[in-house]
Amino acid sequence: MKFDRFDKILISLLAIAAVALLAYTAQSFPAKTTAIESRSMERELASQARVGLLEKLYSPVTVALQNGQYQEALLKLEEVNIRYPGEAHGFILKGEILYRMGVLDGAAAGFIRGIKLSGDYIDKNSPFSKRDIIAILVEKSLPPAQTAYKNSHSNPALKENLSNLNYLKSRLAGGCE
Amino acid sequence: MRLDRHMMTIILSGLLLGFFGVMLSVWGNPENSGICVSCFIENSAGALGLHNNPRLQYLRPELVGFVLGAFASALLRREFRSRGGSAPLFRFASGFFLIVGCAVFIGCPIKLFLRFTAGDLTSLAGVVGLIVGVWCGLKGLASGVELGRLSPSAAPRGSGLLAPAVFLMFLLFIFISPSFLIASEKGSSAQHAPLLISLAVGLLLGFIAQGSRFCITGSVRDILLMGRRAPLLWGGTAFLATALLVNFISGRFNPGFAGQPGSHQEYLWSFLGMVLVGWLSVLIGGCPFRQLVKSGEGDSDAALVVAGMFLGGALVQGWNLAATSAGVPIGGKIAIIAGFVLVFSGSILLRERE
Repeated sequence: MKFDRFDKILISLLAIAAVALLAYTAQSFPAKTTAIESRSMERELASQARVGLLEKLYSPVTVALQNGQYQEALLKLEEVNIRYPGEAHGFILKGEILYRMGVLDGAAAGFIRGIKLSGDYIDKNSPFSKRDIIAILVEKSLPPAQTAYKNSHSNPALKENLSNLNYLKSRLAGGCE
Repeated sequence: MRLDRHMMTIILSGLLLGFFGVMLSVWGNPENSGICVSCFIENSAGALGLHNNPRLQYLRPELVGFVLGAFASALLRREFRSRGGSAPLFRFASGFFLIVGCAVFIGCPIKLFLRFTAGDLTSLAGVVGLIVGVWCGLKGLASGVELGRLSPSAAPRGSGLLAPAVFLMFLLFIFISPSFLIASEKGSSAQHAPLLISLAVGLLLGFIAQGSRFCITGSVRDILLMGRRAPLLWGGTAFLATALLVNFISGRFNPGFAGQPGSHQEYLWSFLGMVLVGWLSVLIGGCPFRQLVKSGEGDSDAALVVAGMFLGGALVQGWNLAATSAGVPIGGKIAIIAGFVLVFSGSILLRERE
């Protein structure tokens, strides 16, 4: 292959561009990236802020729940829900309260609404993880729910409960979301 | 069956894909998703900032490995040729709808069989769908639906280097982590095998698959066309048998319909999603995995499919088209129907008539 003058100019420009590219890439290495530029940092800050805010907002509910005052916890939760309807944390707390009260189908429904809004509640390492309690709920409720549905196929409530428990089982099993 | 060198390479491809497909899950990738091209593309699109789902953002090293492994193999075998120029926009749109079909099923054709060999019986609807889709695609080809021939003259010289160059850049991103690159700290993207293992497996599979031309939809196509004489039948069988065996040994075989990882029970939409993937794959000459491998060997048409797949990976998350364990969202159902509109209209318009 023969190179003419135009080729030589292009090759020179290419070499200059490549060197400039390397130089600028080297400048942007993570060591020289300030913390605030990092999206991970921003995300972590937002996550911490959310944890703090939720703890503060729902503290009357969690206190009542920890003291075993389930009816009061439900009332307090309703009060918060008026201001923040549709918040995943509210559904998860409702699920937990109902679970403690022994209302297992209601608990499953609450957990599902929460998890569909935020998968964090089923993650092992999340600060608000309810994975263990959900695993126990599924283990306890699934066999009777299957039997009940087998005995009465036409009952839509039984069908929905079984479907809810299967959804929770699938989320516990992992896989891509 | 003639056990020549090519046949051995095909069988080796199947064995490695089945083995690593399960083992990558054992080493940290999500359950039944050791290898899933569509999931990897959704994750990588998110990592590059193309969608905003904080649970699905991770530049998957396997994906980079597939393309660069194929590139290395094509160079070594002197099979690297820049070629392209046949129905580029149709291929780009097909790439988009390949990911839509996969996202509605939850998995690419490789993951379809990984799910099946782990006992996920909900994937049966997808298996049937894929076979029906490939059969429909073959009927189309037999009736003259033709995207045009790949031509080295239609592609500017060296244009085939662009796809490997882009993936080389992604490889750099993996190691230097520029500030715009995002990595999930929760959700399924936070689950991954160690970086160097993922990359090495990707490179190995890309390298082997380039030589063998192994492809899931290609295997189904050849079996439908040639039956037991199809070499890819043996590669496909090796893949299934190995994946099943490794799933058994690693304690990951849990047969059942309900509560399977990353699955839903909307069988009709699983079926239709895979019909779309099978049909499109036959028209454009390979499943998502094969498109990545072809883009590494200089096929700029396949590179356009890959670009379409990245757009699909971004939009199935951004527009909430992807199915979850809760089922298929209405947007996903509409997108599948739109995909069929593309297939039907494309088949009418691209058909060669006497």
